[in-house]
Amino acid sequence: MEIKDTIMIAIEFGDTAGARDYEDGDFSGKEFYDKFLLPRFEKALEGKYILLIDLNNFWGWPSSFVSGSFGILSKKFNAETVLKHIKIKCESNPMKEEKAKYIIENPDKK
Amino acid sequence: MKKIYKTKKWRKFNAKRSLKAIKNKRKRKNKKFIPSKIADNSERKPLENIIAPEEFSFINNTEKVLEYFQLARNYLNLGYPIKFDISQIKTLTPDAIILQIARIKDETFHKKTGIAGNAPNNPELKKLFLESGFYNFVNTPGNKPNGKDTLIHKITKNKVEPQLAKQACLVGLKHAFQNDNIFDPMFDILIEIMQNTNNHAGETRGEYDWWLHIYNDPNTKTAKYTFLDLGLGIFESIPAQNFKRKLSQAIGITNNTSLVKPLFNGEIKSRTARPERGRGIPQVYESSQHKAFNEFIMISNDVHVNMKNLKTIKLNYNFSGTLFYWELKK
Repeated sequence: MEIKDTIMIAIEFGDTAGARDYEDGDFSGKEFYDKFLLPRFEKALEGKYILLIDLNNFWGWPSSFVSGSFGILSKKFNAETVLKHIKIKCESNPMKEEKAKYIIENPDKK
Repeated sequence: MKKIYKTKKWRKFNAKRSLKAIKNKRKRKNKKFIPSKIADNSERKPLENIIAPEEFSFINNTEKVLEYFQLARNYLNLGYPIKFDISQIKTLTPDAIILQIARIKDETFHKKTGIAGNAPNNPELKKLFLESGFYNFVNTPGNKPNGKDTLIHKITKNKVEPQLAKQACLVGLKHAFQNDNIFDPMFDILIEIMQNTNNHAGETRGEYDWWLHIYNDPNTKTAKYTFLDLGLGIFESIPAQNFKRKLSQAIGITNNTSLVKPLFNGEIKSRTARPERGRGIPQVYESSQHKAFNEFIMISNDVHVNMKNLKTIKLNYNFSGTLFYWELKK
C-alpha cells in the first residue's frame, strides 16, 4: 500500500499537544481524533492506502493525548488494521512513533 | 423653559418625586444608630508575626516550612491577622516563594483575614524575591517592583494549557540550552501535571488553580521550575485512597510512602476506573528520568520524594496539595 494522504499535524491541527478530552482543555487527543484522525483514517481504509501522520514541529506527545486519539482509534478498528493504514513520522524524535505504536497495540494497558 | 416642564403630567410627576425625597430625608435624619452586634463583640486582634525558617526552602527544608505555614493557618483560623516575616532568612529557593504566594491567594487559608509581609534583609535574597514577581500578586504601597521577563508566574483555573506549556518550555530552554528546539519530555510533564490537577486535585474537575513558576538562575545556567496546586494532594485523592485501602487489607497497616512506587508504575487506577486512564503520573515519572533534569522533587500530603532516585521521606506535617520541582540543566 502506498501513502496517499498526510496529516501535517503542526500545520493542520496546531503545534502543541493537549491532554485527553475536550474538558481537559484545547488541543486534546479527542479533538484531534474527531476532527482529523478518524475522518482521514476512514478514507484511507476505504481507499486502501496509508495515512501518514507527520509530527515535525509538533510539541509534545503526552500519553493522555496519544491514548485519547490513537488509543480510541485502535479500540474502534483494532490494532492490526490501524497499524496497517497508519504511518507516523517524526524526524526530531523517532521515539514518538514507538510510543504511538505501543498505545495502538495496548490501548487498555497503562 | 422647555415645553415639557409646563405640562400637567410633568408637574404631577415632579411634585410626587419631591415629596418622596423629603420623606426619605426625614426618615434618614430620624434613624437611630444601632451599632452592629458583630462589630461590638469582635475586638481587634493584634498582628501575629510568623517568622520563616532560616532555610526558606520547601524542597530542602520541607518540615520547617510546613510548620511555618501551619502556625500561620492556626492564627488565621482564630481570626488573628498575621505577618509573614522572612526578613531573617539565610537561604531562599523559588519554590518557597511561589508556595507563599499561593497560600496568600488561597481563600481557605486566609479566610479573609489580613496578611502582611516583608522581604529578606539579605541583598541577594531580596533581589531574587523582588524578581520573582511576588509583588504582582499582593498589595503594596508605592511602585511594584517588576519581575524579570524570564519568570512566568501563572495562575489558571480548570484547564490544561498547551500554549502556556510551550511558552514555559521555551523560557527555560533558551536559558539552559541556549536554543529553542522542541524538548518533548518537559512539555509532556507540564501537560500531564496540569491534567492531574484538573482531574484529581479536587472532588470535582477543575476545582483548584495551579501555579507555575520558572526561575532562570544566572549563576548556574539552570532553569528551575515549580508547579503546584493546593488541592487534596495525590495521596488523598480517591484513586490513591482506594488503592491504599486494598493494600492495607492485603498486607496490614500501610502509609502513603508505600504508594509511591505503585503510583509511578501506573498501578493506581484513575477515578474513572477506565483501564486506558491513569497514565499521567507514570509518564511524569518516566520523563523525569531524562538526564537534562538535574533534580526532580514531588511533595504531596505527607510524602516527599526525589523522583531521580526514589528516595522517599514521610513528613510529620501534611501538605494539602501537590508540588513538583525540577531543574533543567545542559
